[in-house]
Amino acid sequence: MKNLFIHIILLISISACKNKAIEKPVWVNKTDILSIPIESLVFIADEENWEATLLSFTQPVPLTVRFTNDGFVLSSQNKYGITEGMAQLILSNGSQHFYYDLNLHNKSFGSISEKDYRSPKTVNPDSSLAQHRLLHTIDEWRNILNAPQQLQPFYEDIIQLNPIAGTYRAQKDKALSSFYVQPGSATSIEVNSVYNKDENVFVVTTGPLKDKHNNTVANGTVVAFIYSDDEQTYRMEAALLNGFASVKIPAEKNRQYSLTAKVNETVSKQVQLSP
Amino acid sequence: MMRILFILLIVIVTAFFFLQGRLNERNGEKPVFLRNDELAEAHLTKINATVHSMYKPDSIQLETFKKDYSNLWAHLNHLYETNDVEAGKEYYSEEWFKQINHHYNGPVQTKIKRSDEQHELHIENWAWDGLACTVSDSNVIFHYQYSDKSSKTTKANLKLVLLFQGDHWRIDALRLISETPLK
Repeated sequence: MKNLFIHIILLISISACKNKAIEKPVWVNKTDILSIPIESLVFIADEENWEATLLSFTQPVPLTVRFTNDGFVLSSQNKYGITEGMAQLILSNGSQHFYYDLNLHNKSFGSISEKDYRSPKTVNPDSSLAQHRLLHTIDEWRNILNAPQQLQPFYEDIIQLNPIAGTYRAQKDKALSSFYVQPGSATSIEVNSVYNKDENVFVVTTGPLKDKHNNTVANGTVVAFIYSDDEQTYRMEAALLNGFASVKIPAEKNRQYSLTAKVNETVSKQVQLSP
Repeated sequence: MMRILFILLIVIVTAFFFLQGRLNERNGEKPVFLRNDELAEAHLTKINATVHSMYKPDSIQLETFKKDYSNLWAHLNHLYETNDVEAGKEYYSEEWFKQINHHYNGPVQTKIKRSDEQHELHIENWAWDGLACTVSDSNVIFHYQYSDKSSKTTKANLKLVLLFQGDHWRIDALRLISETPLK
């Protein structure tokens, strides 16, 4: 009898130690598609001390809980969007958690970015003006959108660039999307020479050097001036600046030179230098 | 006497600077190639990749991509469970990192553990220079383990944009097309 009494006391003690079961809060304005940012989700609950987290596909987002007489109201802590799609609302009270399946949808796309990745970044008309273009559209919250008039979100093609040398941007407002069309090689070289009596030199000038698309050949391109008299051959070099390069060749009495200018494989006509 | 005091002064000053140097805490972050990514190393998933793009990655590029993609999911699952935005930052583009930080108020314990068991990866586009790509990840099997020991398994379809920046493929954008429970 005594043992039975002790056992009953023990059973009562154990049941007294057990956590009180908390009832799942009733979601009054329940919806399957939840618009972000949340204005108010109303719950009826007997208990207080609730914590709420919106678990998007990407990350948990803490919500603000405001307690009322018969429950609590949830709202977003900020106005930022989220990864759209399947998600869960988690309500926690101590060690008890309740889950509500739902679908997230942002009220606004925010600012939409039309991404345009180009490669190669630098093209030269001597080789190819072809460029690979990769297009897709992203909203401000990094959700991929279907491009306008496209069923698929991704698009790629090969485009032929305009052969005019310059720096361009695939996306006007993004410096990082810049790509470059370089000038090509010179197609012909014109040489002019003038004898400067005061300095006793021939001033030999080439230019303007143009590529096959009429772009001025790149600054710094080396022009070799090769000239010879009856006995020896000489070489002077100068770098192009704005399509022109010039050298001064010392003149000597009764000595004539024949000169050609050369850029890579392109060679000018021969000119005679005589005082 | 003066000499002894002078030597003592030098000894004290030297000891002071030595101890200062030793006690200074060095909080500098190690460069990424010296860090051990335990989350990524512990992560196991099955990835089958099919290439549909105009330009194709070579075998080495594809292996690198699959490895980084697996590591990325280790960190995305960790982010899902804890909202620890820092841990996986080597696998996030700058814009993605900014976006997840909008919803960061400190770590959270969601009590839901997600694991990705299988991916059928379709490389839709691969940039000529190998620095950007878009993928469809079909029939991804996710397993969710809840704190009350219950669990669920889902099948999902995703679209992702990834950029190769700073030695890693990084997620830049994502779209969850569908996610349905498996019976």
